[in-house]
Amino acid sequence: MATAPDTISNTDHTFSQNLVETQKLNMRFGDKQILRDLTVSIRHGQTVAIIGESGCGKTVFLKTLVGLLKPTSGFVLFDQQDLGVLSEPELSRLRSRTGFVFQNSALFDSLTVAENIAFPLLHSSSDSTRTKLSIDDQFQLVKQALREVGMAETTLKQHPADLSGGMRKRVGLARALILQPELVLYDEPTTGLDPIVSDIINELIMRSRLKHRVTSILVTHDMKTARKVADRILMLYPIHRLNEYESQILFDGPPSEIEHCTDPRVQQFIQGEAGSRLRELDIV
Amino acid sequence: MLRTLITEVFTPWTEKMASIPDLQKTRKNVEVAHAPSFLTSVFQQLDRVTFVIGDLTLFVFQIIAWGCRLKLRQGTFVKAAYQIGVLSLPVVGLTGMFIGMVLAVQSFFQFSQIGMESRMGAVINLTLVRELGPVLAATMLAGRVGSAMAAELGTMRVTEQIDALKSMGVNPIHFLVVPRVFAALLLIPVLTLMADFMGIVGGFAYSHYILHIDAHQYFDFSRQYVTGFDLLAGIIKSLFFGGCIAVVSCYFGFHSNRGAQGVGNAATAAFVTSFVLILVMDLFVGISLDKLYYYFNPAGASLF
Repeated sequence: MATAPDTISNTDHTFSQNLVETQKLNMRFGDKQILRDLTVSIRHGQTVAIIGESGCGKTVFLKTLVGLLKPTSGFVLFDQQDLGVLSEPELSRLRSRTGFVFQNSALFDSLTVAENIAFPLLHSSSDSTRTKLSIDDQFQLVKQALREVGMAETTLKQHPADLSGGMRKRVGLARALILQPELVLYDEPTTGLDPIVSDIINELIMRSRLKHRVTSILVTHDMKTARKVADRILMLYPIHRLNEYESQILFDGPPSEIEHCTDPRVQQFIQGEAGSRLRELDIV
Repeated sequence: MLRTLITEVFTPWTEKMASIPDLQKTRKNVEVAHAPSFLTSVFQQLDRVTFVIGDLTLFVFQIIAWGCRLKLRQGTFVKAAYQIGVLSLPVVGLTGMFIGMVLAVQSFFQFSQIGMESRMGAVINLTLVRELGPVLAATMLAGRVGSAMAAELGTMRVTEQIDALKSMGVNPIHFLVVPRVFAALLLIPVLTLMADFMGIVGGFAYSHYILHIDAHQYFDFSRQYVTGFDLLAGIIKSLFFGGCIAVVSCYFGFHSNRGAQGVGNAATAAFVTSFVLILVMDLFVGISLDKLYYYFNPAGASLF
């Protein structure tokens, strides 16, 4: 019996085209299961937004993709290499092909902005030609990276503590992009920023993609960001709200289709309405 | 008066509290959790201690592996060395001097009773170079630098800076821990020598200028009984202490829990654990070194 094509998945299952792939990924912290049997493939050049409510395992999923967290069971394949069998130096080399923008920027507060952006150039175990440049050339790259995220050169000597949240995020972005990575992971890039700065970050993510054709995965619960930036949306749902055999991925498809998704839980999320959840509040 | 206060104020209040179902539930839960819990909590604690010992051992292996593998990260090393060496020197010197003087005060009475106050120098200096110098320098280092290391690395863990290092292909143990351990190993002998020296100066100054003990006799007996091996034993001990402080502090910082309280707990745990380990190691390394000394030199040197 011919099955209908999987309309909600726009992943190309040609193995060679997948940059990142997870198979039957499970993650537990003690008794608490966070991820259950996640099988996802992400192609070269895609921009995927992972959405879902807080605590559904989005950030955990993102961190397992580059081996920052080890899955309880299952595989993560990066460029067809299983992260689980790689040694620490091999993993480090592989990670230097990726950039990670952290939720709170995670800039090194003992270093200046310039040193932060130059950090991957100076210290990573990357094979990139950029790490072999002279110090002067590298400084030019740092200045250029700072210009690309729209910041003045006067901030180069400042420390992260002197910058606003939006500026820190932009420095984090510049640092993640300086080695021209193949994959950039964004953990809640616009959370806690005002709408204008959020949109600037969105634009920067889109530009970095146009310029370098990077693959991007962003974790967000900002639907505006997801709709604007992503060409594929993946919605995760907390395990404790699911039945035993239900998939944790409620939606997987392009942003245009999410409006037509019939699952009420997806609609509830994208409309931002608590609905029946209000009944769970213990109001006496 | 008291009765009316109890009946009018407390009784209605306690009844009101008891009528809230959630509170009852909580109280019941607390009782249930506590009743059979003594043995369980002992086992839980044992379980945790065993886990920490195992995890710490693995951490040490990783430090050794990364320490041997690649060149040292100079930036982190210089900063740590400045913290450990330069900034700790004054306080170690000061406390060392006072300990020397305290030893003189405490031993004078006992020694003068048996008419042997001229031999005080031997006791004071031997105690200093073998025991108090290294332990004092290590304690100051654990308090001044160890807890700061734990707090710094803990904050880096909490603010995802350690994850950021990893994500850029930099091993955090190689980058953050190895230079700190090397700096501690390299500089704690210097701090120990400083504590020894200032202690000797303090002890002598008090004995000579205040207790009026003859300087020639003071140093002559010292020279007779305090051997190079005693000094060396103190320095060898200090290497163990320095390594222990850096490893333990970095370990607790690395495994800090989230939030300000998590970082605070990491700093406290780093100091308390380092201090306990310093004293435990002091005993065992001391015994081992003595055994070694008497093995090669059966006649030994005795004080009297």
